[in-house]
This record gives sequence, C-alpha cells and structure tokens, in this order.
Amino acid sequence: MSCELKDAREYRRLAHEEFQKNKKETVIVYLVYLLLYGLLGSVTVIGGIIIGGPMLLGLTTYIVANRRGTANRKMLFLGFRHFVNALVTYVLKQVVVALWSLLLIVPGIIKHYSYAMAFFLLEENPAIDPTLALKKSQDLMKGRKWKLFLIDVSYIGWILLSVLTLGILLIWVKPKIDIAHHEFYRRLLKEREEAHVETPAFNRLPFDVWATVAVFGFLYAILRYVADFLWTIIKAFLNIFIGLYKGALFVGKKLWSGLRKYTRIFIRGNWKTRLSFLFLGTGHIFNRQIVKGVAYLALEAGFVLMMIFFGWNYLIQIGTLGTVQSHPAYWDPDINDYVPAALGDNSMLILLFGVAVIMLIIAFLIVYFKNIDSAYENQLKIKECRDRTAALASTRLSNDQKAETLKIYDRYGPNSFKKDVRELFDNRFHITILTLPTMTAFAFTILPLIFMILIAFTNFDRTHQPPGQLFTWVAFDNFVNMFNGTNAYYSNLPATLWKILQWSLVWAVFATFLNYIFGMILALMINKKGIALKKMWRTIFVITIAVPQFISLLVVARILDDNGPIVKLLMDWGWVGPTFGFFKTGITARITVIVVNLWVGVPYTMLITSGILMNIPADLYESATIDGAGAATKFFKITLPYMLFVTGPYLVTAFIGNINNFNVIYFLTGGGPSSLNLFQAGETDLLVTWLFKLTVDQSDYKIASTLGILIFMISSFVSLVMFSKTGAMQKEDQFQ
Amino acid sequence: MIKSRKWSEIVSNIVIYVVLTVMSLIWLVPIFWLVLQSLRLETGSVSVYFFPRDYTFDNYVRLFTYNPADQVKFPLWFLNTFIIAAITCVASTIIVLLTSYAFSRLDFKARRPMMKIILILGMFPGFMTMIAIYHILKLINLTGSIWGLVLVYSGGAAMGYYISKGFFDTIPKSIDEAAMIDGASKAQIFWHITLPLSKPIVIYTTLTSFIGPWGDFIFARLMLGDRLDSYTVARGLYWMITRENISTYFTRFCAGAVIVAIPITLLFIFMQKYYVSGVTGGSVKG
Repeated sequence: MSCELKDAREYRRLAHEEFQKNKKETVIVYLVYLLLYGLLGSVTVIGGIIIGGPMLLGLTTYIVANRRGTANRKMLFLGFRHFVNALVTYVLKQVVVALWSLLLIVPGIIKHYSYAMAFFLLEENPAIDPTLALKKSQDLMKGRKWKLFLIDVSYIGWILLSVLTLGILLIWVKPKIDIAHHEFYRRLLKEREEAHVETPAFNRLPFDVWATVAVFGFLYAILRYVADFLWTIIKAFLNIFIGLYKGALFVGKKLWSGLRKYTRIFIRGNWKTRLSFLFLGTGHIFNRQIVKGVAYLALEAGFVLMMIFFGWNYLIQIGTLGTVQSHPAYWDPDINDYVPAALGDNSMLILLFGVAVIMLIIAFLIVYFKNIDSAYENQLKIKECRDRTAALASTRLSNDQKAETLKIYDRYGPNSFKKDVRELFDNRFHITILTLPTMTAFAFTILPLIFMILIAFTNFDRTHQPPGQLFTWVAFDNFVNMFNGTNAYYSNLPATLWKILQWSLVWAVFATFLNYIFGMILALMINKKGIALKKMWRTIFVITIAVPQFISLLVVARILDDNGPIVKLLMDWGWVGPTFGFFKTGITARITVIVVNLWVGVPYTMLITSGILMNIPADLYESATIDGAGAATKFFKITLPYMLFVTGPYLVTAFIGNINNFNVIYFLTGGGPSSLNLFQAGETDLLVTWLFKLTVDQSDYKIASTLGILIFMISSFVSLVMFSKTGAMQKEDQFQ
Repeated sequence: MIKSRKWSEIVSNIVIYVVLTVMSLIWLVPIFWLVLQSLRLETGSVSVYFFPRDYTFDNYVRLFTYNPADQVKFPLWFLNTFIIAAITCVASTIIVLLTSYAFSRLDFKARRPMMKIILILGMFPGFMTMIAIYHILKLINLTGSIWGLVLVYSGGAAMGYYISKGFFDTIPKSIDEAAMIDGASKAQIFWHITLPLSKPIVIYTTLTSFIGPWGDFIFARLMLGDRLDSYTVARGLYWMITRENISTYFTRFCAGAVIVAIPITLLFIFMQKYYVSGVTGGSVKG
C-alpha cells in the first residue's frame, strides 16, 4: 500500500509539471468552465445537466491536447459538436452513480471510479455509443479503481482549501487532478498493450435496466420542465390577446353607448344644452356659471385658432410626411436664371407636431363631451330646482319664500364658482394635483415615445435626415431587416441582434443573481452575532454606492486600463503577457464587466437585504439548530427561501433593470472591444447601449426605434412571465 | 462539547473578520486611488504605479482659480449643477408626492388605467425618447441651456411614484376617515395629516431627486452639445477625460471627482436609513 501511495506522489509531481507548462491558458479554461457550469448549475439544475456533458467533453479534449502541446482554449467548447453523445454519457453516468449512491454511498463511489475513463474514451472516438464508452471504462478500470481513488485522496488537502475559498482555488487544483487522471488513462492503455490483452469486442449493447429507467426519468423531467415553461409563455400570450380583444370590445361598446347617450341628450336638451354642442360653455354661461362657461368658450376658441394656424397644416401632411424636397440654389436653363435655395417640408416636425395635434384633438374631444355632460346636468339641476320651488309655491305662502327659493337653488342648482373651487380641493382634488404631472408627462414622455415608436415604421436614418431630406412611411420594412438580413447594408443585423440579446440575458442573469447572493452573504457576515464594529463595516461598503456611479465606474475603468496600475502589476508578477488587457478580447472584457459589476452592486444588495435578514423569525433557526442543521443547511433551507419569498418582486425589477443597465457597460467598456462581425456594436454591448450607439453615433433612428420596441417587448415579456411565477409563489399564502 | 462549540465560534468569527477586511480593502482601493491621483504632482494620464512620486494640492487650487484661457470652468459647472439640482429637487418632490398621494388615497375613475399606463411606459428604454425630447426643447429654444435639463429631469418625475405610494399605503386609512368626519377636505388631509406622517419618504424623495442631476450624463451630453458654459459637473468631468483631453486634465479630473463625491457621499450616509426604507418599502412586499 505504501508503494501505491508513492505512486500517487509521482502522479502528483507529473501533473504539477504538466500544469506549469501552460498555466495561464489552463487557468482561464478552468475559470470559464467552473463559472459557466457552476453558475448555470446553481441557477437551474436542468441547465447544469444539459451543458454538463458537452463541457466535460470539451475539458477532456483540452486536457488531452494540452499533453500533446496543441491545446487551445476554444477546445473547451468543442464538446458541443458531439452534443448528444456527450449529454447521454454524462447523464447516464450521473444517474447510475446517483442510483448506486442510494445504497449507503460507497457503491456510488465505486461506480464513479469504474466510469472515470468514459470521457477519455469518448474524446478518442466521439461517435462511440455512450453505453459502450461506459462499458469500456468499466473494463479498463477493473482492479484499478482503488489506485485512482488514492490519487484523488492525495489531493484532499487542496480540495479542502478550495472549499474554504468558496471554490476559487479549484481553478488551480482541478486541472492537476484532471491531468493526473489523463496520465492514469495513458498508462492503463500502455499496460494493456504490453500485456497484449485484447480489448474485448463489445457489441452494441442494449441499454441496461438502470440506464433505461434513468433516461426515461430524465426525459420526463425535461419534458415537464419545458412544458411548464411553454405553458407559462402561452398563458402570457393568451392574456395579451384576451386583453386586446377585451379592450377592443370595450372601446366599441363605449363608442356605441356614447353615440346613443349624446343623441339622447341632444333630443332631450333645451336650447342651452343644444347650443353647447356648437359653442362650448353656453350651457354654463346662461345658467349662472359665467367663469366656467367663459373658460370653456376660450378653450374652444383657442383650439379652433390652433387648428387653423398650426394644426391643420401638419395634420393633412401626416400621411405623406411632406412632399416638397429642400434644394440648394441651382441654375434653371428653362427660365435662364438661378433658382434660390429653398427649404422644403420637414418630415420630422410634421410627424412630431402631427402626433401632438392628434393628442390635442383627443384632449379637446374629452373636454367637448365633458362640456355637454355638465351642460345637460345643469339643465336637469335647474329643472329639479324649478320643481321644488313650484312645490313650495303650491304648499306654502310664507314671506320668506324668496329666501327659501335661493336656498333651494344653492343646494340643488348648478354649482357656484366658489363651490367649484372648493370641490377642487376636496372631492375633485385629484384633478388639481394630477393636471400638472399629466401635462408634463405628456410633453416629455408620452409624446416623444409615440413619436419614436412611429419612427420605427419610417425610413428616418442618416440618408433621410431632415431638414435636408424627407423621410416617409415604410410599414414593416425595418422589422423585416431586423430579422431576415436580405438587405445588403443590414445583412448582419439579425446575427448581431441575436448575439447581443444572448449576451444581454446572460449579463442580466449574472448581474442580478451574483450580486444578490454575494450581497446577502456579506450582509449575513456583518450581521452575525459576535462581529464587532457592524456600523463601520456597513459604512465602508456604503461609501462605494454613495460615490456617484459615473465617477466610480470611470475610475475603475482607468485602473483596469491597458496602461493602468493593475495590468502593470500583473505583468510584473508574470501572470499575464505583455499584450494583455482586460478589455482587449471579448471574453475577458465580459468577465471583467461582470466582476466590476459585483463591486458596484454587492453593497447595494447588502444594504437592502440587511433589514429583511434581521426580520427572519429567530425560532426558525433555533429549531434548525436543535435538529442539528449546519450553517450551510440553514442558509439553503431557511435564509435563501425566505429571502427569495420576500424579495421576489425586487428581483424581477432588478433583472429588468440589468437588461437595461446602461451605466456599467457604457462607462467601463463603451461596448468594446469592437467587432467586425457585429453591426455597429462591440462585444460587451447590451441592447440598450447598442440602441444608444445607433441613435447618437450612427443617426440610424429607424433601426434604433425598432430595437427600442423589441426591448420593450422583451422587458414586458420577461416581467410578465417572472411575475406570474413569483405571483404563484406568493399565493401559497404562508412561507413554510 | 460546549468548549468545542466556543472554539468553532471563534474560528468562524476570525474567518469572517479576515474576509471582511479583505473585501473592505478591495472595495476601498479604487476610491483611495482616486484620492491619491488627485494629489499627484506629475501631469499626464493614468500612471502605472499606484502611489504618486510627488504630492501637491495644486490640482484642487487650479480647479477653482479662474483662468480665462482655460476651458475647464469647474466652479461654473458646479454652480450649474447646483441650480439644476435645487430646482429639480423642489419641482419633482412636489410632483412625486402629489401624484403618489393621488394614486394612494384618492378615488377616481382614471386611477387604475393611469397606473397601468405608467407601468407600460416604464418598460420602454428611457433614452429612446431623447431625440424627440431634444426637438421639443429646441422648439421652445431651451437646448444648450440648463433650464432644458431642469424641465427634462422634473418632467417625467411623476413616473417614479411607486416608492412613495408604497409608503403612503402603509399609513392607516382610518386616520383619514376620522379627519374626514371632522370636516377636513382632501387637501387639508394631505397637508396636515399625511405629510407630517411621511417624513422619511419626503426626505428620501428630496435627496434622490437632488442627487440625480449630479450623476446624469446621458441627457446632459445630448442637450448641452459643446456649450462648455452650461455643462454640468458630470458632463464636464467626462469631457475632461475624453481622448483629446485626458493627458492634460486627468489629475484635475480626479480632484473634481473627489469634490463632487464628498458632499454626495455625506448626504447618502446621512439618509441611508431613509434610503433603505424607501427602496424596500416600494418594491418589496414583506
């Protein structure tokens, strides 16, 4: 046995030497592998299972090539070429190991070691039948499992250290273990060759029972998961369509009932009411509401004047967006004279003002019908007063009849001006306080938004730029260009959209959940009983969010600059080569951005979660302690579920906010490094920063607006789906 | 048994202290670096060594001494930003509080539709509308001036009603009803009852809207163009480290950044607790 331990030491030495040969590259590969696999695996189990096999195959390919000296970091993703085989091998292995582990763990470990060579076999012959790979591995490992186990055990100290560093050390430890396994595999093959043992010819074996059960179980789980997800999506879409249908129905009903109502009013109304169909306010002026009536009349006059001198002109051009082209001065041979330069129509102003005029018309229509309503109401009120005074006259003949009449009119008659004003501060207070906000919102949010949405249906870009040129309606052309790429200029637009969308979502997932988890861990550490100077720790981290974000981000960008102190430091230590820069390649830039975003966001989540963490009922923890739960169990079984339960809605908004996170990307990388494969975008560009570039740098407004609409659809879709999930969670009315 | 638990407690606390110290260092280093750079004597852009070779206060002094030939007018930018922030803060606080009061307490037909519309509008990326806003402001001749920015910042303020509405919702309605029975009008209830009870959210709204203009860069860039006289500090500081200017102005940029960061950091630390209650009260159902 001591001989075998010595053996293990030799494997370790060899692995170490091999590792040192190409350290930098290997560490990067393992970092990417562990990040992708670990994070995706912790977010969705299914995700981890799906990419687990291909990634492991890629990693094996890399290790094998590394031994030959032909390694390339892209090999990590080669496994996806043999996606199905890798997936099936991986799943079969995991499931069989898991099932055997049910029998007091040890059989599972034995199975794990007997299948340990499967991926090397798969690497050698990727087309191999997955069950065959497993069988062959089993055959190779016969009688040698204990030896490999000892090699692994000899790494135990490193593994424990890795656990203490939250797995960060694994980047250096796991490559060595894998190299040692590869060496083990090579020696096994060599032994075989020297002993002239023929590899038994395995036939294509039928699945064994366990495997069949496993595959079906797995398929069932995936199908259920997918079906659940699809159902949520379908429901969301159904809701949208049902909503649209209901909305249309509602509008139709309203129109019909409105038509009937106002015809009835016109028929039943007296001359004052009827006149107010034409001249607003007459129903008020002749009913002692002078101020209100004059205000209505003035509004009408203003509206008519606006339409005559301003609105009409724009309204009739909105169909064409202008027809008269601007031109510079030119010589006209027909009239034998210079034609002076002239400004033609300005399509942009026509569209903008056209929309504004339509909004004003709608507003006026609302005022118009309100006016008729209240004119008719006045008529009814006066009639009521007349009836009452008539009743008064017939029953009593008192001296103070006049005073009584006045009282009746005061109570049942049309409101006096004073009473109207008083109402504006009481029952109609909302009108007083919402008028100004609504108007500013219309001017600075709604009007511009409608304008930009409409731009997506025009050809407004740098070659159609007012006032020099006209632009016009093109219906859905921009959306077509966005998705099919037959237009030569926009040929890589669909690919770019797809890539940036993917990266935006990956970014949002990382940015949201990493920040959330690390922020919560930080909060837990600071709030732990027995930790002194809580306030100081908290303030230290709060300082970094208090500094305005553009300052702290610009500063970090300078520190990480190609000529900055950190890159210099890393070069001096010999960790990176002289050409290294954080923002030089897509993958390093992306990782850097995510890590810096941790720096920005972790204190923020720490601050928010602190308060809620302290509200978790203490007895939950106490009973868990009595049951013998450890710190990790408590975190995953109590803290995390509770927090997810309480902060679900916050997470959804944070996720949407991260899809649209402009600052971090813009100030750190500006979207760079730029890429020729992408349409006017860089490797780290999100949908929003791309939108910004398209508008401000490229003046490609039509594509930018189309993109804006897509972002809107994505954001609302994501929040619909996620809210329906968290909503379902909250309906389970009590947290267990 | 008890002893061993004590030991493990001590060990875990030590680990936590170590982790916290390391993290604090990581979090503070960039800020520390910024301060060091602002005190650097040697000019030029980013240096490869962490500690400057010689120290000086000159960068701060030059930032505040007026030199007509100099393009950097930091005191003017500071004043501009202060004016914008002050007016925006008053205007948008009023707008936000009134809007959220209306949505929380007043009963009117358009209440739900309006809230839904605001929710939908919020899903559009904010600066999609920039170009149109620019032209609207150009129409009333306000581009390139700080008043345009004031309008833009406070114009959309009503959209951010969620947080204070969430706060108003927590004030018991029975107080309102009691006042109503005593004959108070809605305006009086708002002024004499709701507002005094909402000190935290008033402070939160005021401070966030005051801090906003100090950090906004996107709208400032588009609205102000190249008119250095009406720049805000954010726009001006960014201008100082553009490719053409960074080698001349980098150390002064750092000094300016420190000067902007100090008051805002102090404000933020002061309002920390309001901030937390504001953010969690609005978006988290607890």
